[in-house]
Amino acid sequence: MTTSVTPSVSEGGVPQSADRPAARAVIPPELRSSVPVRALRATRVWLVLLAAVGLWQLAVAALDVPEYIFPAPTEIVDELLAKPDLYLSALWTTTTEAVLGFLAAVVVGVVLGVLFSRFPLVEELVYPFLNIIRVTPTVAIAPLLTIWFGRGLVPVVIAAFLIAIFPVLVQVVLGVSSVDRQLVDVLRIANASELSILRKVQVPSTMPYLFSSFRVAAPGAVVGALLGEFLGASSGLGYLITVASGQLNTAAVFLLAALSCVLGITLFQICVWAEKRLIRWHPSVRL
Amino acid sequence: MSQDQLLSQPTGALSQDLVRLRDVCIVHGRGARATVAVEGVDLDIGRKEFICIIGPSGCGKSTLLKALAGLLPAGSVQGEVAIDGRTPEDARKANSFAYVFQEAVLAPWRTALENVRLPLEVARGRSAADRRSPEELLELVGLTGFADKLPGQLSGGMRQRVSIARALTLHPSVLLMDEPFGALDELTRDKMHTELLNIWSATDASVVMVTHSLTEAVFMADRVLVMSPRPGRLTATLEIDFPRPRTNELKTSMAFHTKVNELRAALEAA
Repeated sequence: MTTSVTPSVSEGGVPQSADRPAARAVIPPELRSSVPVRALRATRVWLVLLAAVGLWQLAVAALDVPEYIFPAPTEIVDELLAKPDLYLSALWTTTTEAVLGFLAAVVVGVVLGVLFSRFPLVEELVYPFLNIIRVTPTVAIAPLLTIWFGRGLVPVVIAAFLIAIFPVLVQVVLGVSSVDRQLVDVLRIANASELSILRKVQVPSTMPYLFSSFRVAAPGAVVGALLGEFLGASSGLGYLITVASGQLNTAAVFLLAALSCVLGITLFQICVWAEKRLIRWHPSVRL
Repeated sequence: MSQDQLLSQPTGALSQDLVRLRDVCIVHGRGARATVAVEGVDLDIGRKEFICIIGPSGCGKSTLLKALAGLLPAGSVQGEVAIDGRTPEDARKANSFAYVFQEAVLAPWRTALENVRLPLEVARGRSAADRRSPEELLELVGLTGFADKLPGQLSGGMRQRVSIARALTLHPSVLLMDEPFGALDELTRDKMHTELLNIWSATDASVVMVTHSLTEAVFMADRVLVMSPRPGRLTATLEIDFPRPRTNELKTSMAFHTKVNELRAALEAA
């Protein structure tokens, strides 16, 4: 054994000779997929949709299905192109009614929710009766609305409101009651007023609950508006559905259903977008 | 040490005492379900004093802190509680104290700096001259570079430092701390001990800190109070006279271990 190189013992107890350099980690290069692969990944959901529509078109042609039973996608598009003003103004009417019903539901839901969570007696005496309204089918209530308010905007907005308010109310009550009590104590010790506690703690920490209720309430308002129009109105997508189905204009029924879907999805996406913009701090948004 | 010995402290100091408790009893609940949490507590805390309260779980240490802070429902606290000669309610209105919880209790939608500023936005008891700048306080707790980070982006130790900075914004006379380092790992805890002592020496507040840790109590305090299990009573007082500033080297010294053992004996006798 030559003594010129003295083996030293590293901390792990493994002998390490001086001529052997310490290991260095190699940082693996970033893996980037090629442009076509990324493009495919970004659009694959739409490609599936496109393929399904194509298959539908082919199946209708191959099986020779009559239009009044199951129209082909092109026939539905033709229907829209034939009478664009009729369908777009109906879409606009329904949008207005659904949005008004939704906004009313948010205002009333938040006010009632805050009242309920601050005054348990109000909740105890009012909530059971609200629950009765909730479980009563809106189909049964809508004709009454027509009787009371006539045909027109008001009964439809109320029908949209009735479906949208409950998710908002339930989530606001949940949100206000799950506020961090110790954080409220921090403000109490600083001698904050009840109004400051509401503004600085209770409102911001209820926001995520409120926005998650919008995801249910906004499409719900569209369903409510359609139902209201279906049972007693003289305009809107729901009204046109009754007319078109009476005429056995199946392509128009499909088109109206598709427009209702687009409306519901658009309102839902607006709520999701607003949620991401306004409450970036919440874990559910950061995911 | 018995109750009588506690009371026999020089009476001349009483007039300057910041916090004064006499025959304090605290009852939870009403009627048949009521339990006595704390009984017959006499305690005087001087200005710029560091007090630790130690005792088994559920002995009423935290309850005693909450009583000082006026956070308990009316009627549950009996006896005399005075902070700066005021009732807890009046002292709270004058922003005389601040509270640090075991968890940092930050608003997750506010940045570190905005969290420190929160009490300034709502307080009604302190004049502008008595308020401290949130930026300076963040610097004091060593978080200057993290002012714009949200609590979710900070480590547990950093969050607790934000909460300590927030507690100091209104220039409290008494800082009440309820196991402030209980949720931290041991290495962070050791660091926070010396940091809190440094922060405290830069203020003129008294600290009342509840803890479960014998070494923490001996390292931090001027005086350690031992509480017995339910109903909580103060059964012993241990004077700790190690010179300040104290560093972590103190924890390895023989004298320190002797004090810790003395405290352990007092706890077992409680």
